[in-house]
Amino acid sequence: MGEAVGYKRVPGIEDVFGSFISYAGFWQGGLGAESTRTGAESTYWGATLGLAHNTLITLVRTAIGYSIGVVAGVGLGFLIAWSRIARDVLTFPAHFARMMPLLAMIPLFALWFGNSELGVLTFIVFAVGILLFAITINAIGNVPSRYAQYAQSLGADPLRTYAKVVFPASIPQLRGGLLLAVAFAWSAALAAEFLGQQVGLGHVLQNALYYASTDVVALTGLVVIVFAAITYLAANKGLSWVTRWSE
Amino acid sequence: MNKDAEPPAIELRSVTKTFVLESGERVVAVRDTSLTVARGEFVCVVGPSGHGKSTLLNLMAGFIKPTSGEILVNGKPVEGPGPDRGVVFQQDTLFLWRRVADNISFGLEARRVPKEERKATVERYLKTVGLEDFGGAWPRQLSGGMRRRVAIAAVFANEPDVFLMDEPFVGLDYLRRAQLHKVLLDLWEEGGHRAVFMITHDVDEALVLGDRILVVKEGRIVEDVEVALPRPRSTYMITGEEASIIRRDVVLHFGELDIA
Ligand SMILES: Nc1ncnc2c1ncn2[C@@H]1O[C@H](COP(=O)(O)OP(=O)(O)OP(=O)(O)O)[C@@H](O)[C@H]1O
Ligand SMILES: [Mg+2]
Repeated sequence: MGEAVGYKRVPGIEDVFGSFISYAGFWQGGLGAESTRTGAESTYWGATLGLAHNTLITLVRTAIGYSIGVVAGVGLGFLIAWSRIARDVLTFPAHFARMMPLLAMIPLFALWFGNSELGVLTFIVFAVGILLFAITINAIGNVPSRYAQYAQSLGADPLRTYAKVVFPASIPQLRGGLLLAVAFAWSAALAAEFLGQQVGLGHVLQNALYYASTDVVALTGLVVIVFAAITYLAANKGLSWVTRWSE
Repeated sequence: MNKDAEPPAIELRSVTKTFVLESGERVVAVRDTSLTVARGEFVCVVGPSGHGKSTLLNLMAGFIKPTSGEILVNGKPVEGPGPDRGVVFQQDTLFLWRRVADNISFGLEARRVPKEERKATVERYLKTVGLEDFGGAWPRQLSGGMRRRVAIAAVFANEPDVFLMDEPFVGLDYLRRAQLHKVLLDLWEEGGHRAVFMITHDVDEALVLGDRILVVKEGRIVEDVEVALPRPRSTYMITGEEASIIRRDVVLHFGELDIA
């Protein structure tokens, strides 16, 4: 039987890890490693820098987008839910917006912002914000009314009651949403990078897919999973601390 | 000033509360009820389940409005909840995100009591309810009985004129209840005997605590009896002849049991 010749589409484990060197192609030069685009040899140091740089960029975008999205989504939900009428009216549209296919909206953001950094961030903020807006409105509506009644019978005015009683009472219910939003932020960042950025893990994926380098795709996927898991666990830990009083 | 000229702590004038259910059905929870609670009076309310006791209390607290009639506290019409009426709920209402001491100071903060005074008040009440070592604990770290003590301390520390309590000791064992009765009576005496309106389903509890027992049935006060037993009341006293007469009277007003 002759040996099979041709292009290997399904990479083995060694191929995946062996493809690490390809990240050298994603380094634009400096720190002792020339860019391969200038004709320099691929080196492991260059690959390390390439991977680190692209990971860091995606990580920072995800973190910033997530943070702003949380503040915007929870903050807006909190303000809107103050009014019972607004809360009742907006609960349905908010959940509807939440189910919107996010990825399908990327072209819209590209249209508004071009392929700018601002476009990427806005997209992540949007993905995280919509989710948390809906969840916040819901959580505040679910706080048992006796908490507010009790606070008012102790002399708290409506503002104090809302900010110091109703809102904290709703936090344990936000927890699941805040964790889910970490995953949302990652996919939004990757998708936005995939479609129009020149740097970031999403761009690496896009590039690797374009050249059918399935081994690089697999390795990058692994990197994403590892970092997404780390940020998820960190968020989980932080939230555990914030809600350490909860039963 | 002539003491008789002072308005009573609580006054209900022909109060009716009708709920309209989503099905359109109307439920008359409180029916044309009039009642006067004197200053310093400890009133216990008993009656079958679903007959309007909590509704009566919620009306006094200002959580709901009467369909008709008038409610006055210290001569002033009730328009909503306010710090002149402290409420202890049947379900837990402790702020889980605040430590025990901060739970007790919530009302004081809301009323803008200065910090130093707040601290002193909180310490005093923690001591009265025997939780001086738990000021820094989260509510979830406490037992059910300890939580009830915090709830009561938080309301007493706010020094309302009137206490409204809806089955505050439900679900606690006999011994814990006895301890809490003592805590409650201590606080009541310390606070200069403010009026208490307390719902319970335990006639013995009413006999230990009350100056007066009301029986509420089908939205009406069907019996109103004075408990003229001296204080402090021992177990011996509340199982004695005088108490037994009151107990029988109260129980008979619950209505004949269906199983009889
Ligand atoms: N918010 C409400 N909406 C509609 N119906 C209500 C409402 N609150 C109370 N009711 C009805 O009013 C009646 C009296 O209820 P209430 O809670 O006052 O009874 P209760 O004497 O406190 O009973 P329990 O001993 O079980 O606590 C019941 O038929 C109840 O279904
Ligand atoms: Mg009740």
